[in-house]
Amino acid sequence: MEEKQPKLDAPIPGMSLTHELGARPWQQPPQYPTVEAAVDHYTSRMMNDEFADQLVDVMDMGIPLTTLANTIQLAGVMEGKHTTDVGLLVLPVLIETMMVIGDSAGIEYDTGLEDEPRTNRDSLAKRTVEKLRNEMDKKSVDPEDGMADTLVEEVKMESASEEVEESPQEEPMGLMARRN
Amino acid sequence: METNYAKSMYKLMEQIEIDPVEPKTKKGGLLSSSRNSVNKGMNQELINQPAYRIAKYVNTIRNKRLGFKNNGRETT
Repeated sequence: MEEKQPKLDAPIPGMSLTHELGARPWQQPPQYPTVEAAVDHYTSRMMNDEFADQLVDVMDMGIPLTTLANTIQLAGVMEGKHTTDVGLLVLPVLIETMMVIGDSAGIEYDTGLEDEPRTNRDSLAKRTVEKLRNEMDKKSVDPEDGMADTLVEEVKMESASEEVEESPQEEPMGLMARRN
Repeated sequence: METNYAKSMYKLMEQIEIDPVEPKTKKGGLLSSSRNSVNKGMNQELINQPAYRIAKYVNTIRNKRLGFKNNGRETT
């Protein structure tokens, strides 16, 4: 029988109190106390060309906008720019602003607002292969090696094998089974 | 457990009515309903809420975005 070991990676009691109260940025009065001030701060920052370019790259990778907005506002809270409640209220504005940037850049992005399960979403491998294939087509590389074609076919075969065939329903045989 | 706060907040802001119905002018009779004055107070209270202001911002940005998407025609 395996011997029980003490958990040493858990936080020790009082670990959160290792600094004096007020030493952390979020324990200080916020830099932007109102929603309007926080919205102004974020919109002016996001309209910066450098920030917008980086944001477009991240959005193009398929990361949901809700996740990005949450990360941005959480960083703001940690830096003491605004409080948590102001950060939560600002979230929809961040998402909409990112949508504007994505639309103006002409990219397809995932908003993260859809309710249905994303079953038909392409796998990362498939998207990478398609990207690679597009790049190869652009560069008009000699297609004799057929590496991209082989990879695409493999991905297609994998997705086809994942489809489960519906088995015919067996009729119940018990005494209490319903008779037609 | 719900962990996608951004999605919840966005959906919540979509549900807030941007233009609350203006209350009708109060009639002067003794038997007139006092509900209008209550509505007016509630509207004013709603407008002063930060969530309402944010919903208004979001609605404005969305209308502009959809307008750009539809080649300049703004949609509601």
